[in-house]
Amino acid sequence: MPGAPTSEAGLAAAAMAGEADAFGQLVKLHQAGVRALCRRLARGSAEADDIAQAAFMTAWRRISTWQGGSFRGWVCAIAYREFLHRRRSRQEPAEEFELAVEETPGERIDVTRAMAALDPNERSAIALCLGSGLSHSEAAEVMSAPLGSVKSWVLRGRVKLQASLAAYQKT
Amino acid sequence: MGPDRNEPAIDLEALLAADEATISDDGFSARVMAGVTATAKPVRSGLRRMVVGGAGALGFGVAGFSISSALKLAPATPVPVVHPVAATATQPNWMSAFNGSAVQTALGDIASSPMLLIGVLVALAAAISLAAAAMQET
Repeated sequence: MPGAPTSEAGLAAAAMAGEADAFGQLVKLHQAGVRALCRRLARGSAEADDIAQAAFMTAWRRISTWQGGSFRGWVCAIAYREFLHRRRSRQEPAEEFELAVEETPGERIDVTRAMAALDPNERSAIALCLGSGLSHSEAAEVMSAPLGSVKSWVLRGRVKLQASLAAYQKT
Repeated sequence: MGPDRNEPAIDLEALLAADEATISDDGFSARVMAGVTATAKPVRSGLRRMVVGGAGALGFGVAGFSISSALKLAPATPVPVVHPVAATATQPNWMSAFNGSAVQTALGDIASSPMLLIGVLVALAAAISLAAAAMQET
C-alpha cells in the first residue's frame, strides 16, 4: 500500500491513531522476541505464548501511553509484568519456580537448559538485558529492583551461563 | 567453577538471538490480531485531551461569565428584608425578598446585545459538540 508507514516509529504512530493493521505489522516484527522472552521465563511454550499474547493485547489497549524508544522493549516490559502477575496469582514463590525445559534438538536447548539453572532473578535479568535488549536501568525499573542488583544479577548470570555452556560444548 | 580464562568467551547475545530466530510465527500474529480486532479501538489520547481540555476551558469560561455578570448586577440585587408578614408565609424570606429584577436584568442584557447572544449560542454549541465527540470516542 503506497504511503503506508514502514519504520517502527511510523507503524507505532499509525497504531496510536487506531490503525489495527499497523499494530499487526508491529506484532509480526516483534512476536519472536517477545515469545522468546516469555519462553525463558515461563513454564512451557504454551504458557509463554499465552503471556506473549496477553502482553500484545495490553500493548494495543495502552498504545496511547507509548512514549517512543524501543517498541520491542516496551512490549517485553509488559510481558514481564504479565508473567509476574500470573506467577503471583498462583502464589508461586520465585525460589520454587523451575523451568520445564522442552526436549528440542540443537543449540536452543543448550541455552534454555543453561538459563533454567540460573537463579530466577538472574534468569529474568539475563532474559531482559541480553535477550530483549533492555538497558540495566530499564530492567531495574521493570523488575522493581535496585540498579546495582540488576547489574549484579546480569554479571553473575553471564558468568554462570558461560561456564555451563562451555561445559556443554566440551561434552 | 568458573569458565576457563584461556577460552574465548561465548557470545551470549548471539546465542540468544539465534534461539529467538528459531521461533516461527505459527499463526501467533493472527491469533493476536483476532483479539485486537475483537476489542474496541483504543481511545486516542490527543482527542481525549482535546475533549477534556475543551470542556475544562468551557467550564472556566462559563464560571468567569457568571462571576462577571453577578458583579455587574450587584447594584440591582435587592437587599433581603425580613418582613413580619413575609416570615409567616410559606416561601423563605430570601425568596420572597428576591423580586426577580436581577434575573430580568441579566436576560435583558443578553437579549439586548447580539454579540453576547452569539457568544452564548457558540458556547452552547461547543459544549454539545464536545459531549458528542466524547460519547463517540468512549
